Amino acid sequence: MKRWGSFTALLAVTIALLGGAMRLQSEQIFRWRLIPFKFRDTLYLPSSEYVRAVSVGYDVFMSDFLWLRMIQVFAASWTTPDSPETMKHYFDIITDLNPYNTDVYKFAILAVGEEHKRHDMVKEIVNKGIQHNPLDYHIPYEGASYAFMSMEDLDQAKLYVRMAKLDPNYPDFIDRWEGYFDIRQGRYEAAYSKFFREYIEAILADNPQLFDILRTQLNRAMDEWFKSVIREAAVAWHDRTGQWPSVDELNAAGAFQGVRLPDVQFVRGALQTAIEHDQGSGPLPPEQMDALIDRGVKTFDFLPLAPYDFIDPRYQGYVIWPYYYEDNPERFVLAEIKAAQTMGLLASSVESRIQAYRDAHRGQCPPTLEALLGEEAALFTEHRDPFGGQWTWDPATCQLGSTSFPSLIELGQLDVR
Amino acid sequence: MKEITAIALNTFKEAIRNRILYVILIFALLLILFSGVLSQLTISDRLQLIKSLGFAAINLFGVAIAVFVGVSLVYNELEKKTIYTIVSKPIGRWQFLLGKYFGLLLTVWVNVLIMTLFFLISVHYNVGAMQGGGLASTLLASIGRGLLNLVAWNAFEPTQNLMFVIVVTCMELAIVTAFAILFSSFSTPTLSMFFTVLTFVAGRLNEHIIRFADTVLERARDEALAAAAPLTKPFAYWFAIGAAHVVPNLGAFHRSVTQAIYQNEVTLWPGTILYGVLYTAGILCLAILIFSRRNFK
Repeated sequence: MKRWGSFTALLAVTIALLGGAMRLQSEQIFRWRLIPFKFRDTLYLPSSEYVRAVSVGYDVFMSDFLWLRMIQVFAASWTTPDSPETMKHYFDIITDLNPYNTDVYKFAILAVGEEHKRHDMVKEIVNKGIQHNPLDYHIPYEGASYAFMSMEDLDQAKLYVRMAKLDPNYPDFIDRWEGYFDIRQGRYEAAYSKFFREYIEAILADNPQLFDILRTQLNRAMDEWFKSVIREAAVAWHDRTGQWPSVDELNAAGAFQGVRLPDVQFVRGALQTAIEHDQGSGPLPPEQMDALIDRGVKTFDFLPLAPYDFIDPRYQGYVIWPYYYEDNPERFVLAEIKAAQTMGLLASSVESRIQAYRDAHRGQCPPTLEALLGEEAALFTEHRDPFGGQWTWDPATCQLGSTSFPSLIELGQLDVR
Repeated sequence: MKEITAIALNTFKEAIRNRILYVILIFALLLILFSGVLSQLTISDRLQLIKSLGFAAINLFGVAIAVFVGVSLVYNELEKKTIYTIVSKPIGRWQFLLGKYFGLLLTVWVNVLIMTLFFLISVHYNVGAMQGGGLASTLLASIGRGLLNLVAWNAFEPTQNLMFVIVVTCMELAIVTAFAILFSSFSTPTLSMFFTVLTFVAGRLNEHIIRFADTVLERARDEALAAAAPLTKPFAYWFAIGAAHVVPNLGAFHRSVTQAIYQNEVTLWPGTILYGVLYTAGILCLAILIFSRRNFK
């Protein structure tokens, strides 16, 4: 009985002590919750030499733990770590311990590059990655994306693309980046030659998945080449006369004499021939391929047809739209098809505004475009359309039109011939 | 040979009755299973992390088993005087020691096999779960694949090369076990544990010793150039080079782990395995040498 009594007493004391401790802990929890949490990385990492020594040969294991820590530090501080140096320090140690984890390089590019625009650090990261993983396309590919999108350094991007291509298993699309960068750099002929070659190779290799992609890229290279020549001639004309010319006027004035341009008809013919001889013809000898591509470029005395759509060349010219010149001097020369699409889009947007106006005004049409669009109406009242016609507004029918295409809504069908 | 086998099997039976073995094994298995949970924290290839943790657990706890179980094997026989009953029979001391070594090695390798099975199941389960399989079906399939993997090493893509690396790890553990027996043959368990762990650490850092020697030499060369004097290789250089040759190069075995996880291709210099066999044999000979001259009183 006495034994049970002492046991019960001890149990009661234990419960009282633990209960008191828990009560205090509850109070502490309440107090902690009142303090807003701010993440602060408390892990001190010395240089990788020491971390490596401490890891006692478990380099990969240690590197993976620090990798998790790096992710947490980045995420916990909600994508704004104290400094890019912290992230770079983590990166250095992790990749010194194990330089083969390519995800760390990609993540570090994001952490110090995308978030902090530290181009110098990104270059270091990519170069280290390439040095240790020369046959892995992932790191130079990320580097090329970053160099193109954030650094806007196309030469650097092209260098990384070439390094990515050292990987025997690099994906096809990396091939086309170089050509794309060439277009962006104004190296149209280089891009054109590249895409022309690849397109024919794709046909001969019977790779239909690539046909459309490469045709689009080849079109783009030729299109940009044409537009750059027209832009240059139009700006020179404008500087001389103070007026914007039409493409026909430039042509008639001999602005395109002796200019190297892709021969659209030849390209179409060559591709048609390649398609017809596709079956079992095998790869073309390199010299024949070079000759074919070279013959696709001609010195013209007049502007040849626009390249749109090799099969059905419905839209054959370019227009100069001075309205675009001030906002975007790169875009004021448009292919006819693009100009027509732009007019169609403008008409659609005005149409929806008209509908909203009518809903708000008991079905009445706006009396003027100014009443409908306010200051934006200047586009239609003070400027001509891309084809040189005048914009028109009929309040009786609630219709936006132009003298080039009286019924713009039908432009949705894109029948502008 | 018969005597060695008998002592080895007896040592194995004795070792598996050791509770500490089970504690270590349970920790290892928990870490391996936990790797799947931990891998949720990464933002990329989760399998890499699972493999990394699995290999580390197998290696680390393999070493722990060799050390904790091994260091007291010979000592206990001496302490409890049970060795008298053995050496009074027509059994050589070298046979006794080799029997102890192979018994301990068998214990370590059996444990590695169990951990490997869990590791393979964990990898297969996580692959299955990532592909959206149900819990029960994925678990059953993973157990089946894990068991098959023990026999058909490269039967499945996610576990390619893993078994090869496990075999290389077993070679590394054979060296560590030999050291445990060596130190156990002339020292107390505490000191043996201390010596074995230090040897393991030094062995893992063997590459650093060579780098240190290079740094010392480079500094001496710079000083000689500055003083326009002939180069004299300092004592520290010779000491470090000597140490790098004497200390076991355990890092050489561990390098294949990085390759298996991150490079999908394991290349191991055949000399590495030969080095492991020769080194282990050498350490065992040294242990026999010491043990044969030991006074049991």
